[in-house]
Amino acid sequence: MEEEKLCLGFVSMTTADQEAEYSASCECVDCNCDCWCDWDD
Amino acid sequence: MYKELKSPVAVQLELTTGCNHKCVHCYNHWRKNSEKDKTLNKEEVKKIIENLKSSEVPNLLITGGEPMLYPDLMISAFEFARSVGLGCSLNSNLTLVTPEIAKELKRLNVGVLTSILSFDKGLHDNITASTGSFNRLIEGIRLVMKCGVPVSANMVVMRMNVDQIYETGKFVHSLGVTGFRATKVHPAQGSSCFEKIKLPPEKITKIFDDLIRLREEFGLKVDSLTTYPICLLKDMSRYGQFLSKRNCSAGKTGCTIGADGQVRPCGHSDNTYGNAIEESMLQIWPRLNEWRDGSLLPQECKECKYVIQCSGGCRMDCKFYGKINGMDPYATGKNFTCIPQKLEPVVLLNAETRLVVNANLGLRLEKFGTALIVEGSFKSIITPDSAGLLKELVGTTFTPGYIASKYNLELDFVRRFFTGLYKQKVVCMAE
Repeated sequence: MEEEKLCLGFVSMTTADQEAEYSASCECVDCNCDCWCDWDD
Repeated sequence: MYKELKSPVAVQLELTTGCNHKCVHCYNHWRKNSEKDKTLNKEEVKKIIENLKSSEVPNLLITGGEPMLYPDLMISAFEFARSVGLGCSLNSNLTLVTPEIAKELKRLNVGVLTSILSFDKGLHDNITASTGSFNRLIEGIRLVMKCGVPVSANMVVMRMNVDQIYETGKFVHSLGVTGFRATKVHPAQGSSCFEKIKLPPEKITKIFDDLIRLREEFGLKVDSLTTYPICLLKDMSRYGQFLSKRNCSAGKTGCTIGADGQVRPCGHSDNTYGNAIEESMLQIWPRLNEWRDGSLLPQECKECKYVIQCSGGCRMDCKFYGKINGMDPYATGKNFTCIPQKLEPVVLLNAETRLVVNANLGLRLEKFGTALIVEGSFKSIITPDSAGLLKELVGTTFTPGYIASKYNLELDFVRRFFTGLYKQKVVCMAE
């Protein structure tokens, strides 16, 4: 029986593009975006 | 449009509505009734922080009003928040800071975002309507920096100071501050003077052009702390860098708790959804669904392919002009040609790079994945398998090549995934 592969990746917070649901990169992910406190350098 | 987190990942707490300045641009909706200032008491603050902790909210920003009007309350709030593991930061005009407060902020690892309106003392004082505020700000910045407190400066840009962004950034740099933000002014709900200070659309790109120049000439870390309609900017190859993580967070990842305990989607909003002194954030948060499901967006924005990136602009600006689900006042409509953003090619970690999981990583289970929290700051969501793997890897040293081989995964995919985690400080290079 074939072993089930790990599903690694980032999950999009949007429901708009289901095809981009899982991604190996974080570019399509909505990162922390709080408009006043996400200023940390 | 946006999936529902179990609770916000960042909360702004307005400790008080009181302020020692009367800034012409202040967005606080209560500014018209400032004679009725409200301040949370110590017990209420404790209840709210306990609520955040039990609702798994990882990050608290204390704002106002001016929190330093009540330094003991502010410090005890940070002390308690830190004791329950929350990441903490502060918005302050820094004009009331003392050496004792600065030392406490350093001890509690609290960074400060302050506000500078101009390098010109007279104009800054004029905008804050507080004589001497510029000198007190500069003294405050020097004091907290001397104590080792991280400081970043934000310039709210309006008609009177839009031509001073570059000089103000240059001045901030001369103080030793490394982060400079310039952010367009927003209206306070019910404000009668906004038309006099609001930026004309053609001046919006000047904010970004000046920020780019400041970064190139002085190496400043620059940003603009709000959302802008992409149909106004059009050239994402130049301006996209300022929009990539600045879509509106109101009700999606964050919210504000007022000095009356009322939960609002953001600091600009006067819409309330429940009281955090009385009810769990886990109960209140689902009520903000209209901020996530697109029902506050106009149809034209819903049909635009860039809506996720710009969130259709600012809903509170629309409310100010009479219709919360209207078009952002700066939006030009969905029929425009966008020059696409050119993403820099990502330099991937090598297959042999030795990595460890950050010791300060927190995992928060969501309905659709696991949220990554690093030192109290939300980073992203990963799949359940990814979270399981990270848990396994805690305390070990590993390489992308080892992971790919052990789990029979494509090496480039694994390198790309761990490069993303590395950029977010979820994993670090092994020493």
